[in-house]
Amino acid sequence: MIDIEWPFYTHMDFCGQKKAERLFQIIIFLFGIIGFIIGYMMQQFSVTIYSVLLGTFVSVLLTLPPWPIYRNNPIEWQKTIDSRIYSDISAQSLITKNFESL
Amino acid sequence: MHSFFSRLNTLFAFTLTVLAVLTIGVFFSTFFEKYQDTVAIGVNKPIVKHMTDFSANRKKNDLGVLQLNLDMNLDHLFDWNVKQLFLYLVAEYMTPTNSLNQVVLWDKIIRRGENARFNLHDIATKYYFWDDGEHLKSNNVTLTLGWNIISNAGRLIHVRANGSTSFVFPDNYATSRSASSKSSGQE
Repeated sequence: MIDIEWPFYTHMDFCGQKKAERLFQIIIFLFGIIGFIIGYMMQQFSVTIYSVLLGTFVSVLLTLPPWPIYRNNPIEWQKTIDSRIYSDISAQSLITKNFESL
Repeated sequence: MHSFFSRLNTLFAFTLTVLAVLTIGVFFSTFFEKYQDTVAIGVNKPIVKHMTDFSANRKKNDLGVLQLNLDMNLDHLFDWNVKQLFLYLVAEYMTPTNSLNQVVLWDKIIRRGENARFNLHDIATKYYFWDDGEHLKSNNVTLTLGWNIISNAGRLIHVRANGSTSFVFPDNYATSRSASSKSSGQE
């Protein structure tokens, strides 16, 4: 199930991952605190549990799918080098050649 | 955090951690609660019979028969950490062979949300009041109501209520024909 080729993308940038993790931690923590206070006032522990589960549901909607705000800092890959033209040269002269081309 | 499932895994683990911390908070918020109350217990028409207990040995033992009145209001015991109450009515007395005998005569389970106010009059005991021997005649018996708190997160507490009553059994055995029709003993 992990390696299926979905027709949509499922990954985020590193900056997006940091934002998403911080966001769901804050959301679930806030819903937990609010649920604890309301549960204490109503003397019903089920209210606290439902509040945390509601917070989890909101976080799932906001942080699990890779929304575009989490993809604003794409990773900058280096340009590819076509290594076929260097297949008959040793590694030492390959490095020398790259320094000459910079 | 790169794949969808690792994000889902992290979120789920964080949710469980938050739930565990909140449950510990509930436990601490009711740690010093005493769960004490006063009830009214009454006893009508106690008699003693002398008959064979067929579930034990074949000797003849004393059987106490009585009617109970119970009045209590236990709504305020249900705070947010109490899941249900287990009530039990215990009769304690002394005999020449044992310094303390305890017999449970009546019990009830009250779940959260059920009615916790009782005004029961002239009910029969739920269990038989057998003595292991023949020492119930003219014996002083104390009836006490107790409850066991079953929590969402916490210790199991046994509490004895205020308001126990004592009564004395009569000096003579009752024959089967003179027992009342609402007795719980064998006819």
